[in-house]
Amino acid sequence: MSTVITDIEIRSCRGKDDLDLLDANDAVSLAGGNRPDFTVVTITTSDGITGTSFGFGAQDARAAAATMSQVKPFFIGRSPHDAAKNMKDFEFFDRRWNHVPIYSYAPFDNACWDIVGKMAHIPVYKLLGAAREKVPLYVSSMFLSGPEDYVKQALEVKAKGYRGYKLHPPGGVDLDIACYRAVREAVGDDFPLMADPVIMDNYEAALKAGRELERLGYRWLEEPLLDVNLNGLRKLREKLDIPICGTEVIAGAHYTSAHCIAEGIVDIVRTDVSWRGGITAVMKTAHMAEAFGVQCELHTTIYHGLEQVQLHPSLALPNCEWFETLYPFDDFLFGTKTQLNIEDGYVLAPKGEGLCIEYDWDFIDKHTIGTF
Amino acid sequence: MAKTDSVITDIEIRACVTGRQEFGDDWSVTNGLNFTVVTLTDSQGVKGTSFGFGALDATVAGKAMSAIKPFFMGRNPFDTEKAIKEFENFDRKWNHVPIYAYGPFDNACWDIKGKVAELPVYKLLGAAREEVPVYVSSGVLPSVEAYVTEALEVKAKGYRGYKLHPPGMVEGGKTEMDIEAYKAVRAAVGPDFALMADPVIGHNYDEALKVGRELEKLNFLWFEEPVLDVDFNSLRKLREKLNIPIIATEVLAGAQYSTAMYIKEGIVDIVRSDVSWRGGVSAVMKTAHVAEAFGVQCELHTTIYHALEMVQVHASLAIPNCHFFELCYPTEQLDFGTRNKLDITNGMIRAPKGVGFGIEYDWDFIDNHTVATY
Repeated sequence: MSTVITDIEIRSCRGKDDLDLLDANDAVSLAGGNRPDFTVVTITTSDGITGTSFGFGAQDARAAAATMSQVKPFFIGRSPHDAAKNMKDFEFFDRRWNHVPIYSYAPFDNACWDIVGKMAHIPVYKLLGAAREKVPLYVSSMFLSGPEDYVKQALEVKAKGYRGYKLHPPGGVDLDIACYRAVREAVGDDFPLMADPVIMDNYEAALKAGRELERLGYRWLEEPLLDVNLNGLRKLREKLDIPICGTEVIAGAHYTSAHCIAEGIVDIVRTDVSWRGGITAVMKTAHMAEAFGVQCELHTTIYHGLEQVQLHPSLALPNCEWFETLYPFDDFLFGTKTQLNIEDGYVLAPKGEGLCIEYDWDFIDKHTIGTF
Repeated sequence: MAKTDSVITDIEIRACVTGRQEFGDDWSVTNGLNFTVVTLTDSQGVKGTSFGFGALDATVAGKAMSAIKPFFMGRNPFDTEKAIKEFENFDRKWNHVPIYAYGPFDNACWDIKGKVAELPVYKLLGAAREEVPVYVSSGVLPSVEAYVTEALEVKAKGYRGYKLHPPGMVEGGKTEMDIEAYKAVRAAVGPDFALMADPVIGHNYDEALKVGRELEKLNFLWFEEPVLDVDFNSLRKLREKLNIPIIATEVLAGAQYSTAMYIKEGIVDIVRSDVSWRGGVSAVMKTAHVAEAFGVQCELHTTIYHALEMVQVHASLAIPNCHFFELCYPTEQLDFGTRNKLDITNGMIRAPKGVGFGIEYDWDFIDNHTVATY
């Protein structure tokens, strides 16, 4: 195992076909209708093996990729097999003085796993230790306007056989509740529904929504308050019977999730292979949660290129029930020739080795706006 | 038209390097430093400026800040509370900027506020005092003797305290070396001079406990960041065991929110914040107010560059539960980019004279060292 990393390429890519188009304030509405910016990290070893992972693109992939470029010198010369060492050493490297954003490290870690799997000729989920061969899929709406939009979409989702539907409601507790009610009525009592308001106005609004969601038989209430509003979240968790689900954007990966579990701040923790440190950190977080009897539900990684990475840990986690993707797929379905293999509402295990992803380099080339 | 009827119409973010930066494991800075400069201009032509963190590459830090530019365009510079609240949503969907990206924008708004009000910012914030005792912090030095020499020099210059960044943090796990340095410095400066220890995640829990017990015997004022800020469990165990105050949170994400929980859960004794890494003047004030209500000290962490220390001194003067002002030592290497200098007499720092932050930037110097603009 004398393989070391000799080259790293970081691409910033514009999702839109018009490479000059960028409107951050518009993009923040997350209303859908636009392919988001993304990044692509490719690591090459001294043996000539390459590993690739998509990464988060934020509102401007050039800014996201620039932050990743600070991680590049750290990885050059390291072994792709030493994931735990790399992650531990990075704590020091980043503390003195980088402070990269939460999403910068992950694509490197993921790309290392791709290499490890390719060298072993084994799919990564089998290397991690498979827990299952398929995962039920729920899809999540974007932020729509009102009850009619959500009802129409929920019925469409159910008809397609997906196993659940999560609303990102429009905002304002009364309008949110109207949407939750209308969708429950439309899909019937048993179809799994989740609510993800992504930081409501305040604790009181969240408690009101939570009580209604309990009556409507929703599966969980997600990120009702800012992830770092630990006190507000804990009060909700103590009051409400509906599980409170959070931690997908909290910094500190497994460390912070441990605290949130130990202190009773949430019922269900969240992580993903994009914003919370990559496959290695996701496994640490999930294992810690498992030991506490807590579910670790993976958060969508947005791009299907990255969902295909996330599928591997998802298949290796006994305490994660669901796989999540945003809906409709159109905005996020690009950059790979392989796709998620969805059958009867389940995402099936991939075939191949490493991360089992075949990238669409023509598409990626055409959308690359910068390289580090 | 009211004095506050203005909106931000222009934002300039500069990435600057004072020279090629060689930034080794020992934190030695040779040749130069990376930094950023953010300038906001409002519709009445008033400008506010703040230095910002430059990380290891100012073009990267500047890029990260560029994601915030569209958020601030068109906003009223007086509405700093509205901005900080709405930024939670803007950043959540989907930016996730680094911890240091927001601070300079908030600071620059305060500079504008002060200039329009024709008041120094610390008087707008509500002054708690007119001067703050300064302690200085070492780099990682090559020998025990080097710490002793520096500590004596610092004491002779009249600074009010000395903080060691001990050698073990570089060597890794060399706690014996750290303890030796702590002992030698205490012996040299006498029993009463204020000393602090900051190994910056140099230890695991077991080592930290051992070192903490030594520091208690040596009458150090506090034991800082012995393990990662997010390693709550170890921090709390240390705080519960040790008498010496455990101080941390300068790199913890979530500013006042996460700090509130650290206090409530008894994870640290003293919290830290600064106007660079933890959200700017507005967030520092919130954090300090949380701490004050719990009877906890909020000791501000150095912002590295003197141009930014001149921003921080305003917040520091307005916080009754912050005892010290921190500067990196030797101070000369971080003194650039401003025409006026830190006003330090007899180990006490005062705010620069003038309105806003009272900083006269050396634009010639900044121009000559700007490598990119966003």
